[in-house]
Amino acid sequence: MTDSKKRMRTDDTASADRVIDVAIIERDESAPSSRNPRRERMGGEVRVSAVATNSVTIYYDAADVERRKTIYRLNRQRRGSKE
Amino acid sequence: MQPVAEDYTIVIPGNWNLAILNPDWIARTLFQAEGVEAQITIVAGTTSLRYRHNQVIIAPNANRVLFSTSELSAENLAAAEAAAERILEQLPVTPVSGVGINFGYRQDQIPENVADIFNAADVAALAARDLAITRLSVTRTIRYDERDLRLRLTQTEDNSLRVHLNYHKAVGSSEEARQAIHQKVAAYLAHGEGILRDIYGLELEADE
Repeated sequence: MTDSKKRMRTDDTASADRVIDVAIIERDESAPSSRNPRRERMGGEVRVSAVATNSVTIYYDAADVERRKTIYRLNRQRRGSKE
Repeated sequence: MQPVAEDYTIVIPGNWNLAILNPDWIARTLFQAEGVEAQITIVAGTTSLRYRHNQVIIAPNANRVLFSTSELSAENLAAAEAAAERILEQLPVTPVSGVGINFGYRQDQIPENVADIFNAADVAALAARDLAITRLSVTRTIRYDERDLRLRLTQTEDNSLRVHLNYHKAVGSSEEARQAIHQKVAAYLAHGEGILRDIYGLELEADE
């Protein structure tokens, strides 16, 4: 066992300043290009976009400030590419 | 003393592959379900995704995966434990370095016997210099069941008590991590609450 392992912290909490429910929609092979992603309004403040690239991007619009920010990019295996 | 649901976690630090830990894989392989709920969490301005199925939550990050429950119950804690075991079974070559099984509590009033623990030798000297202590923690690292139990008592700014129990074990493989979790959550919960009751006189309040 190394010293770094001995010092490893494992006491994380699941608390968060804010939790927002979102929905992940299936990537649509026929969706428009990434420059014009398909969007759906989720819960009045979160938009989820399925783009025609090999990823899903979630856009978050704050309820009080109309700002759009890509907060997470999730690489996804191209559907059917290895099937 | 009241349990704090967010502090009931299973933490597995390691080098996780987020390309695998996508919603489809988590739903089908981890939860054996058709889909999962997704949530964005914001912590100190940093956002991340987590997923929920029934009452079990998984928060995958590149350097650790965290399991928790949205509602405390023996059944949900067992489900979280099972999910943690399953991820280690399904990704056996993932480099993992430790396991943490955690519980947390709060109590509005600090009992006198616990207040005595916080009344360390330097408290009066600091006060005499007009240096106010706003938060005070005492941590005991105890060897138990071939791992460390880190028991932390904290006097908060509002003079309430927070208690954290961290059953920590360093591991060298996924299988070792799985064994360190298997049937441990309920056992450690009973063990930890027994220590808090017998040593510190802290007991869970009955549900109203």
